[in-house]
Amino acid sequence: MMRRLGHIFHIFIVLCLYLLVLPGCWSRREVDQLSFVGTVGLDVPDETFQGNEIGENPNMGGNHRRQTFRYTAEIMKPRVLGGGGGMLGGGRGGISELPYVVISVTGQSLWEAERNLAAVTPRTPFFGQASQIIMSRGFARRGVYPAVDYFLRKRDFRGTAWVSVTDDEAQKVLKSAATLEQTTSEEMDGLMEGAKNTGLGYAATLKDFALALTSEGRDPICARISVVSPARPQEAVGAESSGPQTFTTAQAAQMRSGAYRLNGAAVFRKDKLVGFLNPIETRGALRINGKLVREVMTLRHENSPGEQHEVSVEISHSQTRLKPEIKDGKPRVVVQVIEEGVLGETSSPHLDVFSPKVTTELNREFKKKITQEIEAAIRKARYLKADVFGFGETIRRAFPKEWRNLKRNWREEFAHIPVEIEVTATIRRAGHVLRPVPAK
Amino acid sequence: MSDSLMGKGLRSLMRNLRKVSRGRLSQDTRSRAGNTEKPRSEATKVRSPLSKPPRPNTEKPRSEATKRRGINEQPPPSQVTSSSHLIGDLKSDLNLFRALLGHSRDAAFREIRLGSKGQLPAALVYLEDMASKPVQIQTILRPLLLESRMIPLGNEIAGKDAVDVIQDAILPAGDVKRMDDVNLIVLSVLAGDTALLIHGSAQALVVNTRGWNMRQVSEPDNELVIRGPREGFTENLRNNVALIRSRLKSPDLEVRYRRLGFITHTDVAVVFINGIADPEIVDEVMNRIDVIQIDGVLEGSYLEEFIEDNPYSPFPQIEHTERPDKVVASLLEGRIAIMTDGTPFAMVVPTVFGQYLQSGDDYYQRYHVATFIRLLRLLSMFVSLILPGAYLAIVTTHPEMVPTTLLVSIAAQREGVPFPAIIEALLMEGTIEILRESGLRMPGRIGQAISVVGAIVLGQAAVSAGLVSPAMVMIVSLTGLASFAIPSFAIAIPLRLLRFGLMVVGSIFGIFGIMAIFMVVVAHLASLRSFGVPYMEPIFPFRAADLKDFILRAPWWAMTERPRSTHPIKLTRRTEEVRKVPSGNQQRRTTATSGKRGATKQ
Repeated sequence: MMRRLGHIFHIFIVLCLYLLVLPGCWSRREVDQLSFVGTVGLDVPDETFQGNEIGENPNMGGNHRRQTFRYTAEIMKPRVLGGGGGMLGGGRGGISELPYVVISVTGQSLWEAERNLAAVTPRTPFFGQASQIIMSRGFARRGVYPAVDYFLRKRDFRGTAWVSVTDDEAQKVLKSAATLEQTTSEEMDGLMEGAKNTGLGYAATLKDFALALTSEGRDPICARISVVSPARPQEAVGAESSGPQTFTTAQAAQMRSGAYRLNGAAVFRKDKLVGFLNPIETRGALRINGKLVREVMTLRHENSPGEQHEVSVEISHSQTRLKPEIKDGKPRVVVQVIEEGVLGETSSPHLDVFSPKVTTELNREFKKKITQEIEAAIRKARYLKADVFGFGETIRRAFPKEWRNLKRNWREEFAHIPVEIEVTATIRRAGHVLRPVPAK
Repeated sequence: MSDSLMGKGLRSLMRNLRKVSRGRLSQDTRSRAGNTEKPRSEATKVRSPLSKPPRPNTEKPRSEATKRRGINEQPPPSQVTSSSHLIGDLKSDLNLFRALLGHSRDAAFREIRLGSKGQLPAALVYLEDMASKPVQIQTILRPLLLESRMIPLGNEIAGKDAVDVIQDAILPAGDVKRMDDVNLIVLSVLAGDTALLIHGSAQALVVNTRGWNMRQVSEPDNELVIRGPREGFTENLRNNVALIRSRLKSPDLEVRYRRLGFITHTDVAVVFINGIADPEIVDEVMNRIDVIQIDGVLEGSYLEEFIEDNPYSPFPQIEHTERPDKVVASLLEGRIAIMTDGTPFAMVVPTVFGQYLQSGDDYYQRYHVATFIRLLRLLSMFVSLILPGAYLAIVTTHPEMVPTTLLVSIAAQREGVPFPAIIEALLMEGTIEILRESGLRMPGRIGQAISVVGAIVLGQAAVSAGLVSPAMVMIVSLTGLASFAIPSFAIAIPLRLLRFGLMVVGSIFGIFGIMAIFMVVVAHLASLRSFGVPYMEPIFPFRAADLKDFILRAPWWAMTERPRSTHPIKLTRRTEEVRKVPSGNQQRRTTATSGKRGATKQ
């Protein structure tokens, strides 16, 4: 028995040794000593600026060293957000206290910049809950590879974070106050989640983005954020970009005028931003990539000559298939879209949506509209020479041999290959009302 | 009178006494207890099994008592040492008993005269505190002294004949045994019997007059049911066997008795159903019980530690219960019950893990409900085992797993707490454990009040003092609550121990550490056996047929078979039992408590 016990003890010791070596995350972190980063904003600092940015090495003669990245983090304040334990004396500072702080730092690399956060925040930044990456237009134009690499390598960063590009500075988006939610990241999460229902933006996660970036025959696409009414950081905090800027309480409350919205999609060629898709084109892109769930389209219907009605249809089911073909060495892609819709609104009491004639006409109109959106998306993508639909990828999968020849010059090919759009569109239901509601 | 002679004779007698009580144990060389020598040397020091508190000067009162009772003529020392049998001479026989029992104040030696003219001297030997006086008067004194006047005892009927007549025709007692071995007689007397010595006969009649006070049959507090019998075992073994027999009226019910404890002479009954229980397991149980060497047995747990398969495991391998209905159900499943005199707990073997998650209620309620409740218990077992550990693991090493809102809330609560989460958790768990233990020790109502109020007040106070976060209070109380949903206290204890281990490991190594510990525990559980039966049956080894009564509780009309894990000889529950002809050569020992032999002549 003792020998068996000794044996078990040995096994136990070995298991303990494994425990020391195997776990990747064995460092214990106390949640109250972490600062939860909700949103990360990436900018290129104003190149004309020379000054005492954090992260600058004073020994290197500071002023001449160019800071390549501005790193803005939205850090949540648990005490305000979570309401605290109730007992923590006077934890809630009233409405004026924002539940988060926005901190900007710069660095020669993102990793370095992130480390510079430590100079301004007492707690270790924790990215496990970060759900938004916002890049400025300038940053994205320069190439996002460093950012993607940095985020993918990061231990606690998650692939589920949403990626977006803003026309303005990312910093400004972060400084704009949320409207309904408590933090910018929560607010943006809501926008991104809703994008597939509105078709107004193209929501892409870091994982989607990185996959598109790394796979052959596909270019990345992500959401575009526009700041509607710009924030006024100048008024709030002295000179712009003078060191790390933290906005709290009164300052942030002043900035609440700022707001942002989803506004189509940002298209990349390789890792560089080349252009934007407007909402119509975005819907087309969502359709081709099979990401559209729900969307409301307004159709025009001519009942009798001169009598026009408007009919709104919501997509209830959408299915897309890309069929690559190669004929005589020429590639060709067929986009097959099957959609079903629910009629939700008519503008006229005289339209009998159940008459076969009207149904056929509406279906035709429905199909036409869908085709138009897809065509618009493809036209724009061809113009930008960015294969955000992954046509190349489908060809590569179906015809790996032919792809070897195609891939060298794929982006040029993409702009010219014939694309056929086959849409099957049906309006299935018409809501709770069968006949038009009579109007006197 | 010489003290030295007296002492010598006594000592040899005592030694003989021990030999009898140990019986075959001493011959058996397989020793699980390990120390065969120690109890013997200790036993020599002990004067009498019944002497209450050990008195410092043992010799003096005894010699005084013997003097007072007028033992002047010492029986020849050779006689005493060589034989422990009665001689037939009342005076010397009585002196023998006086020497053995005389130092106890409660020992009574009542000399009477039988026959029409009182020609036949006789004596009753009994312990006043143990024997029931009404029974004695009713069954011995009255018939002997009054109602047998007309029988010419002494004159025409004497010696062995007189004993025959008294046993067969005079004593109206059911349980009358004839014994000639002084040691056995003394043991019976110590258990409350009355020995009748008759002049001229080398055999004594031992009448069962046991009648000390007993707790009434009441509902067991630890195993309450909503619907079902409310009877529980008491501390009286015979009573307990009767409780089982009253529910299981079958001639196949077999009860085997053993007497354990060199000094306490505690009766142990092994109960099973002949023709259902696996004889191999029965033999194994008997063998394991027979090799136990211990001076005293006060509870079944004394035996449990001797006979369990893996004595180093923290997990209980023998189930115990206070409910006769549960024992009967187990017997019907082919299990074997081991019952110890002096305790209301019966042990049931072989035991599988699943039994600890089952309650008698399961079988008395509708089966849908029973299944649901069993699932709930399984869940609460996991909760009580891993919840604090998992919480620590997730919060301290994998904060990304928590929904943002919740994490922020936890962080906010933690902000005022000065300790790391693990200290916070240990503090709270420790408090709960102390509360639980002190609640257990406190008298009845106060205990309950203190526990509940203490938990609430302490939790609240700890939060406001900033010692722990509200989330931790919730986790700990949920854990405590879940641990009470496990029907068996026996299995809840090792889980409690494991919980602390999981908390420490979880806070250092995270989910990985918890999984590692969990795997070790599962492997250990899978390696356990209870009397040869794998502990985790029917999960490992997998037996689909036994799943009907594991987490599921199939309706009774669908449970046509006994569990296979106990290897029942007769698997089906459907047909009538075929009576087995008793083989007769089964080894049975006549013990003082064995009531079924009744007044058999030897």
